[in-house]
Amino acid sequence: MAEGYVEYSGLKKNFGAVPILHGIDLKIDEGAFVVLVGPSGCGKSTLLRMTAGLESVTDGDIKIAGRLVNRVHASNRGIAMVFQSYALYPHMSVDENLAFSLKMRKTPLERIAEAIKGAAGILKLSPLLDRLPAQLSGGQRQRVAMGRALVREPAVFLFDEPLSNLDAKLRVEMRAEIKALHQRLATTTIYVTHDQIEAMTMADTVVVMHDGRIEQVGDPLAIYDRPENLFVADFLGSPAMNLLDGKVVATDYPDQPRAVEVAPGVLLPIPGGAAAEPGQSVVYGVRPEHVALVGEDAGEPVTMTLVEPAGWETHLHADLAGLSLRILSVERVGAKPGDRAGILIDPERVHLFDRATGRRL
Amino acid sequence: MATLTRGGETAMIGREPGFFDALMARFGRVILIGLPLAFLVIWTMVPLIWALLASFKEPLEIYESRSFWPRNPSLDAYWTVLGMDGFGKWMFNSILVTVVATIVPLILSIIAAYAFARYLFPFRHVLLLLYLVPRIIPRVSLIVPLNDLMTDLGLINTYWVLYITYIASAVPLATWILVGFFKAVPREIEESATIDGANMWNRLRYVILPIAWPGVVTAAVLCIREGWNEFAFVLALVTETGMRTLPYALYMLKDSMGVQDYAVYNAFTILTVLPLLVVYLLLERRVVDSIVSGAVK
Amino acid sequence: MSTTAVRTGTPPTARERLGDFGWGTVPYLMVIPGLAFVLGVLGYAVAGGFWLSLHETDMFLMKTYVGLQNYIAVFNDPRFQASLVRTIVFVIASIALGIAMSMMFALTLYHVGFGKRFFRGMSLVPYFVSGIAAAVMFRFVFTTSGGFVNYVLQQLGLHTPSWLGDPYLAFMVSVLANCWFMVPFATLILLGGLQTVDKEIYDAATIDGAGPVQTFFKITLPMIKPMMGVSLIWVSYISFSTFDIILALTAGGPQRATEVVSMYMYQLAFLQLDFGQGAVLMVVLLLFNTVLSLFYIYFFVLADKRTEKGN
Ligand SMILES: Nc1ncnc2c1ncn2[C@@H]1O[C@H](COP(=O)(O)OP(=O)(O)O)[C@@H](O)[C@H]1O
Ligand SMILES: [Mg+2]
Repeated sequence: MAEGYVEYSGLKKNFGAVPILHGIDLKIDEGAFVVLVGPSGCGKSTLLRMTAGLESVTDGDIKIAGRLVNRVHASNRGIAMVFQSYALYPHMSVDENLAFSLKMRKTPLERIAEAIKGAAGILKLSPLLDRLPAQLSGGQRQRVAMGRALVREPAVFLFDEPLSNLDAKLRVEMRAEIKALHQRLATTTIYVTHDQIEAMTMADTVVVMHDGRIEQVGDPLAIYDRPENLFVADFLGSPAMNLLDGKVVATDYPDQPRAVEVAPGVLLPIPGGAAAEPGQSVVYGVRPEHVALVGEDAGEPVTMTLVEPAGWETHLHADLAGLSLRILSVERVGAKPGDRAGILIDPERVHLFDRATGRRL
Repeated sequence: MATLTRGGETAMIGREPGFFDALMARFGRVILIGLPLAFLVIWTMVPLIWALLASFKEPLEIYESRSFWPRNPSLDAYWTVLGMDGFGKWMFNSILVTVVATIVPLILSIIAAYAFARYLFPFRHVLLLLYLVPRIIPRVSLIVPLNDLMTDLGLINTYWVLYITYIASAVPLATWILVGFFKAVPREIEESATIDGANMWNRLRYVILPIAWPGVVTAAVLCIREGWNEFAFVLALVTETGMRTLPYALYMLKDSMGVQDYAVYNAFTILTVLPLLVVYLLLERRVVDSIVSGAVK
Repeated sequence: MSTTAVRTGTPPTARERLGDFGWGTVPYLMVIPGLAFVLGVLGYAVAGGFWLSLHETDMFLMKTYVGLQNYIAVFNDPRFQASLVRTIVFVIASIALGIAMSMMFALTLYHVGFGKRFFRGMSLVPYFVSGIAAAVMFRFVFTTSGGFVNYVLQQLGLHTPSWLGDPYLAFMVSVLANCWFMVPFATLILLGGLQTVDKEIYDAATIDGAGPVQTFFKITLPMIKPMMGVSLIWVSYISFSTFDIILALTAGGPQRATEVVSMYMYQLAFLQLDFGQGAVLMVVLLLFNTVLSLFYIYFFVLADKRTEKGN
């Protein structure tokens, strides 16, 4: 791959003596919509703020559009940032908020007016220009924050959990709006969230982070279908993937020469091509939606412990020889706690991980 | 509560509330709130109002103490005060010293408070403490050494010595107030301004100060208050009549008037108090809000 | 709007660097000017006071080192001992009365149903009256002929005492004047405390069967402990260092009935020109105040902060 539009190489960050980022290597293509996702405290904001120029670089390089920006001031990096709290200037009206960065740059007044008009048109802010932030709803504030980023015509948009202060319905709306904006402007965007749904739905490329490291980078569905390690497997997907400790054993079935024993006598099937030797300690992973419920006398026997009908789907918890198993069914299941049933697992949908290293086998 | 569920009765009320209870509740409330409120108003206002009324009375009338209201209200006492030798100079001194002792500390404090609120520099806690400890030093205790030191420096009876001492005692106050207000401005707003291209000066000017404006106003009013009312320092550092400020002049009035003309005395008092009260009443809302919100300590 | 080009090329100048949010010398340069004034004047004065307390100043303002001699003289001086006791009584009386009044006024302002803003604003007025003016006004309120109090008593046909001529009454009046001056600020601080208490807590207490008195002592007071601490610091600070009010109200009299430490200090240094012993009293005032303030801060403010998250 050629040079990325935004490029991190060996990027490290310490706060005092505490290392927070342990060497980030990542290339982001021009025009891409990249989502950094990971649990709280994993360093997503830190990485984004280093990109913005709000945090210094401990070690390594950040390049934007081929230019090394490690020591370039935030205002000269060609970036614009939308904060979780929106960080609107509370004492300025909407149009003053939008104009501020241009005024600081001594842009001629006509140009400022033009830029405001453009941004307000795109974001449907025109009727609100005279209002103060306090007089706006959450969604409107969010749009002003985006407008403020827009008028600067940045090379890179940075978003730090921009939707987490909105209620669920608005969040879905704004999600679509941000995505549409990106499709229209095609500006390179780095978007931080801890919400995997946002990550999955919005990203061209998802970057899963954990403890200051990148765990996996890729197309959202590809990551979902092929998590490279235990952390990614566990983090992405809701309800989360079933992860059962087990041991690889040889079986007598010719079409299934190996299986994983997750409890004494309970053998679960594994993909044919999996590089697992009998005797190896593994973690057996299968997503709840890939566990099929069948009649009581087929498959592995389970006992239902909890049934949560959610309308469009049903979440079930079942006991498999003392192990707890999550099952997701898109059909209405008439089961009650205590009912017996059997489960079938498609071996091609199974993920196997080395227990010691956590890596995919 | 046992009554909560008993026999379907409504919670907590043992018997039907009658007219008498309602009356008592109302009456009790009026007494409980009304009496202390009346006391508060009387207690707060009587000294001021009594002085104000006396300033319109005739000297003898005050002495007889027969009437509450002035019988023949007159402004004579005020004309006497205004025509007094030196009154103009004392007023000028008070205004001059107060203005200097407000503007300079505000500038110094805004800069220092910004650093304390935003920078994580080593020893900041120690430095902040050095700023704040002087707040618990009783200023009157300093008059002995200050008088001695300033005499040695030959600074007695100069404006400079008043400026310096007034500023020194106002800076900790203003800094303390402003650090709180500046810290309350979300850091992200300032970061946003940084990305928008504002340097430190522009951030202060366009972002921090407008947002923390109530704090600046509060700090300013309190600096004005300290400067206008300061007494111990002038007492220790000024001996010449022409260098007096109004509180000192008021204090010396007792000695400088042979027979006590109570009306003039009261008119003088009112005139020293009034300018500051006007400032306060103009900005009352901000000041009261700041104190109630715990921003001034 | 199009995807844009970044301004490339130019290397960052020193000004563009992150120094803005960095460590560097900038914050020190910002903090030092103010500190220079504070330490230069107040610090210098305090240090000078300690130095002075160890020296004897003669008629020609020549100073000789005398060690602790001034301290010994002062502590053996019955007039000082009396003024110290008087100060302590004055402070205790002022704290008791001042806090009680502040609490009462704060509760009143909290519950008052109309003109809230007006009464609040009015209650702070004395805070803006100088100590001297407050004292002068109080003299006219309590003066024997022409005073408001005696005017009222006279109208009611009661005995009109000589408030400022009687040692006990004069002491009382100075406590009152001191309270008049310092209560407003404490009131607003406590009011702020009352307003931070969540109203639902009172509802919960009522449901739990607590009466108004119990609610006040078991719920309100503990919850406004930090503000109580701040008020106490303020009230004791003002009372300990009370000076202008007493100077202009009674000048320490009658018969030294109101001669508190600060008054005696003024006497010693400015009228008897004994700077050394005056400075000893300064040290006494300073130490008392510091110890008391630290005590309050520890008990009321810090004790609560520790359970919260510091910033
Ligand atoms: N200014 C700072 N000083 C010290 N530690 C910090 C600072 N900012 C963030 N951290 C720490 O760095 C880690 C990563 O923080 P952050 O990047 O905000 O995480 P995320 O955005 O992924 O939730 C956290 O453990 C946080 O406590
Ligand atoms: Mg974050």
